Amino acid sequence: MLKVIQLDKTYGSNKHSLQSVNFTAQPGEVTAIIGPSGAGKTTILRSINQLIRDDSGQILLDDTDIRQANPAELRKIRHHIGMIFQNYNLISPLTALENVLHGRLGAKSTLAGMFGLYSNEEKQEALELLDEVGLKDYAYQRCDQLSGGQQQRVGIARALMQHPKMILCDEPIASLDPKSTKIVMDILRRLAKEKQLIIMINLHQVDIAMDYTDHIIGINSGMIVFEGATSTVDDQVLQQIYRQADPQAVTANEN
Amino acid sequence: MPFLSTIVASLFSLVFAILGAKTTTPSPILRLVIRFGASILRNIPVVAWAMILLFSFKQSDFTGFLALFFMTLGYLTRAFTETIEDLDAEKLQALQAVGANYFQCVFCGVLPEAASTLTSWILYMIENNLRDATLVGLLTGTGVGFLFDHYFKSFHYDAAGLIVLLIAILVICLELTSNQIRRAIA
Repeated sequence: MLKVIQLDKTYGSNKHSLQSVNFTAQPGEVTAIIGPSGAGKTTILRSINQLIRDDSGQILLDDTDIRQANPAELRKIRHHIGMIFQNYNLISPLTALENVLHGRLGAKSTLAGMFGLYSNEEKQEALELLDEVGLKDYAYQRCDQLSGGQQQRVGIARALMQHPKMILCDEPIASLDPKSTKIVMDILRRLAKEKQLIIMINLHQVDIAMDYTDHIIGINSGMIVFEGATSTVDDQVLQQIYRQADPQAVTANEN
Repeated sequence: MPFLSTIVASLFSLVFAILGAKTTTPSPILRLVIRFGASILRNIPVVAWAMILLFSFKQSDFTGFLALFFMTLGYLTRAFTETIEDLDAEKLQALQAVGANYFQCVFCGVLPEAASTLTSWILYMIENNLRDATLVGLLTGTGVGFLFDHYFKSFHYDAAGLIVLLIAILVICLELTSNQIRRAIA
């Protein structure tokens, strides 16, 4: 279980990006974070694996506070948190297989990781994961030759290679066409159920959030304005989440 | 000589560039030192390098090697640094998020992403140094520059002309091959 308590983040002076953010996310559930641009969705997600350092609060993953970890511990924690991105962020001249194997870097010694020395079991597992996301035939293709939807699925396989407890998805479908969107969202929902993962997704598309997620967190100007089951979200709640923010606060959050 | 000095210099440049690029530097102070050092090496003309080094190493191949080496080191460090800084920082963040440490990020992320641009720069530098080698040779009394000087001053203009022609042909051939290589790795 992921529990975020009183998370605060300020950029510059007095510009609140996150203000006392509290929420929980359960294994086996897909949780969406929705809200207007610049509300702090990405900041929340990247605070969870500490790619962005927050100012104060607690982030408890199975009762370990991620914020208190030293660099070596943080590496271990990150190894079990998968992350996928809007721009896929694969190493494009490498093959799909090599990119999936990168998911093991956090568990390998420095040298073995540097020179790409992976065991046969690891390669076998990577191939199986590519098969699982439907890309078996593309294992030896360079990633820059794959389509956006395919690259995103390689990204998911890389995250799975980490044996994750949780997968963070930062706008995973913002650059995808409707068909790829459906494929990617179906995979994510299936994974949450089958492997009992915590899946957190930043989304712009409310309809997708309504269709695919179990739990919704609505955020506006760095504050949580709604948290609850997707079935309880109605027009009134959406209006509250997407209400026009104070223009000054929006600029502050985008900085 | 131009080949050897370019290859050796590019190895050193790569290390300096990784330490000096904004995205991969371990410390901002080191970054400043490297940028400053590279700028000095680069901005002293190769002719000046050759003449300065003549005092220490006399007329030898090594002098020519060093002159080309220093200039190339300065130039490539700058070019490599900018190549690395132009990479998408998010891709490296993605590797950090996986739990990769600094060296793994550099070897699994930075190097593969930058490889084709870096190779391009090295090929360009070899072409450049082949031309400069004539000049350096003239000054240090070694290599092809020395031959040219020798024939020229003993009034063998036919042989001297042939040497110039050969250098030109060699440079053009090299340019064509390196274009091929660039296309193959792009």
